[in-house]
Amino acid sequence: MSTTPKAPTMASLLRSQASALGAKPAYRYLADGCEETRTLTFEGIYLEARAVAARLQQRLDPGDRAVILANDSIEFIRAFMGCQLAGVIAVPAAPPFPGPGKRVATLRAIVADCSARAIVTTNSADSRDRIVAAAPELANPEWIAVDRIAVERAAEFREQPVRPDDVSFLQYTSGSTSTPKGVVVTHDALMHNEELIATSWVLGPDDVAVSWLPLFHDMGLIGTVFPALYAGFEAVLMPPLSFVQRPERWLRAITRYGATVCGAPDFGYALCVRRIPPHEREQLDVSSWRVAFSGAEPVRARTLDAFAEAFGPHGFDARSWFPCYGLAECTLMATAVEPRAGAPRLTLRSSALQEGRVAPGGEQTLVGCGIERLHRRVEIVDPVTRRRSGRTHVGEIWLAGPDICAGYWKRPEESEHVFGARLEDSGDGPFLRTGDLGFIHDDQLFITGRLKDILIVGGRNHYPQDIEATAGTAHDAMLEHDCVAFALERDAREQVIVVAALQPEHDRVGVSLDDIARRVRAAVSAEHGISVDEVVLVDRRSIPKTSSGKLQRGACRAAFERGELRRARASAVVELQGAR
Amino acid sequence: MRERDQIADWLVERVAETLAIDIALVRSDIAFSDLGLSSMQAVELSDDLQRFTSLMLPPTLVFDYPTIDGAAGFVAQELARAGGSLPVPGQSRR
Repeated sequence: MSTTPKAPTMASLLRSQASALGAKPAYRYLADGCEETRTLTFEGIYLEARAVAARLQQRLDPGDRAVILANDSIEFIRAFMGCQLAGVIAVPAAPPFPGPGKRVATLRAIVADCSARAIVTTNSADSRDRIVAAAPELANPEWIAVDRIAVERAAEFREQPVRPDDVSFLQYTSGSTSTPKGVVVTHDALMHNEELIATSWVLGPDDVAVSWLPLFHDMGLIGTVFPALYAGFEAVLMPPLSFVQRPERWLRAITRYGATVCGAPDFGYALCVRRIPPHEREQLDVSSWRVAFSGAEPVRARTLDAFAEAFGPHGFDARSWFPCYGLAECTLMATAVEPRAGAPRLTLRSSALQEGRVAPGGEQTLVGCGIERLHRRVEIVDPVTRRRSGRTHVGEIWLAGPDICAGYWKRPEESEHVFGARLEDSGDGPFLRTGDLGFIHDDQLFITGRLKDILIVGGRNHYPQDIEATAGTAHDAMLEHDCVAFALERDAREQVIVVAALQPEHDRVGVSLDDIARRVRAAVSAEHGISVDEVVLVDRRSIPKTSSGKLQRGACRAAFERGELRRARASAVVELQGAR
Repeated sequence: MRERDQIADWLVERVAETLAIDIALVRSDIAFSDLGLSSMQAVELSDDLQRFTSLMLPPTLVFDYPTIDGAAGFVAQELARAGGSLPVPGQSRR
């Protein structure tokens, strides 16, 4: 079944919602997570967007790429919507953290990959100079301070035709720093996904969202900011850091604004339980909350239960859980559960699951992520034979629908492989190969793991290649190319493990293994902002590789789990020191 | 300055606890990230400091002042400006 979205493009949606909803507030911004500092109405966004579009039109042509770098949500929205009206392809990116780190590397990679003509940012003192000092070539695109564009400029805007198959924006959440991959999101795909979200969550003009999700992340942008515009309700936004600093601010704002639609990756809910002590829960009343979505990370039954237990007495209804499955390659949402059904669960025998078999009635609990709705098609496919897996077997999740993205920016071969898959037997397709593993049971999709080598920490994707490149050069006693990073589900979260090989003992006399491990942790933390849960130092040749010398991450992880990795010994000199 | 040292000592203990490492390994003159703290843990630390000092502190505190010495210096200054005081260890305030 397919439905026609409310509008064919983001540009026309902006226009029609501005005239239909006028002075109704669309976005409120709490700059410190508490006090409302700015409001944008529906007609206000359209006006601001025209002003920004007029400025963009001065120097950019339709189809040019503009990277958006803004921590301030209102400025981000102005910049993004300006691009939509000017026909400029928006490229949201994470503003680099203070200090040198991977995020400058990521930004460099994105700017180069999409050949950005402009970087649209806020004029806050830290941004341009600091970034250009670390990455001189980033001075080449034009830097446009969006917060310096006066609304009066709207009069200069020249109407630009935007078609449904034009590109709305590029989503760079896939791909490592060395090979960034920009998912190409057309207006048509975007509008179909918004229709899917609005239908699944039964969104309407009386809803209110409160969100701290970053807007450069698809869940914040496509899952919160756009649904507000699409369904015509108001979204209250706060900076991610003000939530992480004190999670109570999120629930306080939900209480204050009577919010109905709010979500987070699993870690956000876990953070609320861990960091809001019982005496600070007393003022909270979240009974208005009817869509509590969870996605971007595995949805853990333990987290849902702990949250519902902690905040049930303060109005949280466990039937509000909306576990979701989605990925940038299908715009955002792939599947969603039925409203008011809560989080479907299934217990399984984990021993069978490890062999790819679905055997209900065991000790492992999985949370269902819903099923196809509207236009969505889901197939579970054997990734090797490309035939449908039976009901009792785990397979790769393949998706189809008008919101499957057009491919990766300027990567035709990889796009064909990922977005153009066909079933072996019927030739049916094209399908998106998600790289995620799962099965369907009782009309629910359950995610069990992934084929692709990514680590998801704090709701964000990290690529093992990037972490390995950092970790492998943290200490001279390490073998740079013999380093493997992977993630493991332990203690109800994704833990990061680094396995690294060392020089032969006689070449590392006097070197302390603790010191190496410490430096690995420090380098990964400084460069990628995540902590390594375990560093395993091994001898040369104990890292599994293919005959052509390629790292085998899966085999390494399996050896780690079985306790079969041969750990390196401290060299004799250090042992003597340790014995002193 | 007494407050500065007290805040620094408190930070050393807190970081050691967060990373589950020995206090002796927590140097106060190197960056929090070099100690192995993730950005999320660093932001949480700013809230722990808020609770400890009863001050409003920016979530980016430990990025703006990336070492224990630096952060303690800044927070002690803020404390003096606000005319606040630190809880006396092991005792309740008078």
